[in-house]
Amino acid sequence: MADVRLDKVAKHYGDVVAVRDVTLDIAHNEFVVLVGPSGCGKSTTLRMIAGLEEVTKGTIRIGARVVNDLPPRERNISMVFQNYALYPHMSVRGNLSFGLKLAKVPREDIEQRVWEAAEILGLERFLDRQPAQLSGGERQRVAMGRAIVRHPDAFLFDEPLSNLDAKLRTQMRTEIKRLHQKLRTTIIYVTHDQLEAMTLADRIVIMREGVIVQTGTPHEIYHDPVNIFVAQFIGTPPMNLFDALSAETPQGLALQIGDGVQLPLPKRYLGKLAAGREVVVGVRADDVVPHGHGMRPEERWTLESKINIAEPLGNETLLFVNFGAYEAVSKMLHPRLVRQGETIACDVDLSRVHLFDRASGQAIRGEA
Amino acid sequence: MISARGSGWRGRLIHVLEIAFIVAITAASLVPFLWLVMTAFKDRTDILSAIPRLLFTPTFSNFYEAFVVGEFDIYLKNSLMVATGSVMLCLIIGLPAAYAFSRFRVFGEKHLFFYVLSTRMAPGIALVLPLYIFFQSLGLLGTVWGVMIAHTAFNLALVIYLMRNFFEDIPRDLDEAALTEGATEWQVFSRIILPLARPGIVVTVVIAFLFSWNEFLFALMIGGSGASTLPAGFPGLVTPLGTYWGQLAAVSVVVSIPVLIMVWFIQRGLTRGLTFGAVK
Amino acid sequence: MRKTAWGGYAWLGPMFLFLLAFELWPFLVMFDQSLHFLNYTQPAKNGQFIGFDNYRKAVFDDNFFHSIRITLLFLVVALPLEFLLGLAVAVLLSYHLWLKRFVLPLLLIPMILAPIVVGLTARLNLNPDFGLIGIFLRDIGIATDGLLSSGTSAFFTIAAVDVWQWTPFLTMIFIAAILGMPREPFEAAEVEGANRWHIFRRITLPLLRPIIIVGLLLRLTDAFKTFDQVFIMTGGGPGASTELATIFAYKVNFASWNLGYGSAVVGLLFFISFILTFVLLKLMTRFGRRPLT
Repeated sequence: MADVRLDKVAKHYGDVVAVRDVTLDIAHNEFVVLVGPSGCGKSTTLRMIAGLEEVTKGTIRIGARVVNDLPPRERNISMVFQNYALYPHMSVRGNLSFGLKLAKVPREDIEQRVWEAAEILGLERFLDRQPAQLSGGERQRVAMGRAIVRHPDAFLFDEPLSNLDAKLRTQMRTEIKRLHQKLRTTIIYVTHDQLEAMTLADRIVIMREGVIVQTGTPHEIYHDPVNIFVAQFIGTPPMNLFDALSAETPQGLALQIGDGVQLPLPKRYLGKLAAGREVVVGVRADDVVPHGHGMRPEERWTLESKINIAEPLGNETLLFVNFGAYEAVSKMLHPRLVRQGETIACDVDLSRVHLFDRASGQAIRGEA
Repeated sequence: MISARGSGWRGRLIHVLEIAFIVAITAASLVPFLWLVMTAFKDRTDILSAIPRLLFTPTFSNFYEAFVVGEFDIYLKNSLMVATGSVMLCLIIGLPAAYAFSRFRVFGEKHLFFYVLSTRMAPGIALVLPLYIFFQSLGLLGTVWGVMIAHTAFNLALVIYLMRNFFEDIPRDLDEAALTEGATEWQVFSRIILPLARPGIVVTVVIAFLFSWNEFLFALMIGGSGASTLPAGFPGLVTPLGTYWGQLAAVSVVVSIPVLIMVWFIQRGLTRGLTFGAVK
Repeated sequence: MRKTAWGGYAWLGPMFLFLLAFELWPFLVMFDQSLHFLNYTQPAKNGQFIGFDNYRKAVFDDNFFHSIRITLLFLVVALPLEFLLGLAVAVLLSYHLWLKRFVLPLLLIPMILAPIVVGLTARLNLNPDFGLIGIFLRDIGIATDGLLSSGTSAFFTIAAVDVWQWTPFLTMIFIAAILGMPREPFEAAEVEGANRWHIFRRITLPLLRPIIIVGLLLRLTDAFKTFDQVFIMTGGGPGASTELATIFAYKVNFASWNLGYGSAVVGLLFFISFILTFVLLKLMTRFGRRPLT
């Protein structure tokens, strides 16, 4: 059990800066997910923690020790790779026990630990098979088993589910979460899939171009994104965004989206915004719901729109609706059949509308 | 692979002609050598007969003359020692080097290829003469060790290059997995990489062994009187008194057997090995 | 690429030591020798330092130049034949793939035999008195004294033997390359009604280009090294009609024992092969890329 601390960590490959400045504290037993688009530096950061990449600047601590100059084998961490990296010439049992044999663990202990791990991951039947005989999901479990048997201070996962098909991925996600609950060990997990991040993490760390953009719980990230990038990156479908101008109206400040569409200023932004400010209005599809289909808005505002495309998902339907010259995505819970061109009134919950400064993309903070 | 072929009697004729051509070329490749093999088992009159004898009573007398009466049994022993010795030296020196070139940032990466190619491309004499002069001063001329070292010098570059190629095929993920599991670099090399590279090692060993086994000039000049290998013994059978064709053929057969057997086994890796990995 | 202790000295050390001791040092010794006059037949001058005189002598030596010429002619005669024949067999074999299993191992035999055995085989077969081919040729009036007894025929004979020996190499790499080609372009062409010649010219050949270059360049530099076979077949004769550069170098050093001069000759040969290697590398990297049709 250990906490992991990164302090102003950077990684340069010659002139190329892969990781610019990462400072992060990971507590005992926390499940932290590093997520971001490709090239953001999340894998590089993970590999620096593992010791597979040299740290150009900054320090990394595991527990009390500064590990910058320690080779991977002295850091007491385990890593699960995207391509599993199982040893092809050894059986599953061989793969699981390799690390223990290197550590000269007594044979009975090895057997016991291997068996334990196999039980946890449902690998009992496969112990004597070769990796080539296993399916992708089974191989991934062996990779995890190999990580577990060593009882490391931290588990590092490098996009472990990327090579699995969608269904298997959802299954394995739950298994990993269960594993974390059972093992009570720090997990640092890298993925590009925001859904994985949301479902698995205690805390999400969003990275972009070598820096951390925002850290927070899934709830925080979802409901309180710090800028447009985060707002769009997290959540499916992506948040609706519209350029708007704040304008004075007889009823007070309002947000003007193009001609004719005017949104009243959400209450929590009262006093926080001047007139004439260029902003971006963001609202998630869950907060734009056809009237009577599941939402009880705190601050209701009605948007009259016309249905363009409907994507039924079974329990809900995504509606692409037009209003004026604009299109928004709306979620229709308890859906009914709709027709293209049909007019529909959507409830918009103003209390969930986000405002971002148009120039910088940063969120404008309102009252909590 | 391609099946498009004219139909009708012309198509069939071409089809047959093509096969005939292939068979003819194959025969042309095979027959001269078969003739040599047959000669090894003929007695003197059959060999020198003015009418080529396809049917004859085989005899082992040539083998007897060369290996029991003559010194070719010693030469055979020398060939074996030199070939196995030089291959082992190449592996001991070359495997770690090849691994380092594959995995580590080391001095000489770019130069490796050039070094390999130039030792391979230089004519034998260019490698023999320096060693001859050097060994003369060391007293290594006419010794098995001398030839062994010479062959190692000759083969080392190729062994390193080929093995580096084969090591490259093994994903580095495996290295990293083993490293995080507690392995030292040496343990990664010996317990993960080497076992996985075994097929490549076999191909490399066979190629290196064959080059040493078949080698003539080094063995002749450096092995000379004291440590001739089988090929180096050939000129001895071409005397002003006459050429001992029977013995020559017999020794040739012995020289060729391991070659044929080994190549049979590594047919698949041969293309890759002989083109430095350019053709897989 | 990872970092390791001391730039990998533990892994590369033995290699560097071996190279230093048995390749670099001897080479330097030879170079030193090339700067001296070393010929026991003239004991007065023996051992004198003469700078680059030996090299000057070599560059103006008619015999040396003749041997280079013979080598080049040898390449020019043998290589195109090997290439054409090798390609023909490979392509035909690709039309009758079922034959490959039986035919290829046999075809490869000349290539894997010891070069000296190849020379011996040729000499035996071509003997006009009792060689399989020699007798036949004598009976039909060609080469009554044997192909190796007269200058011109000897030269073409050693070229022919090279073709016999190395065509299989080209066949082998061409067939490997053909089998590695993607099926789609071929299938598409067949569907469009192309006949075999068209397919060969328009699809197979362009796709083979990198391999042809590789093969030809490998053969070019390898053929430069030819020694064993010619040594045992003709020893360079009759006269100097088959005296390749390698044979010339051998004679100067180990027949005449003119070691000072001989070292210079060998040094020059080494230099020439260096250049060839360099050119080979350049051409291989330039043309080695696969053409995407």
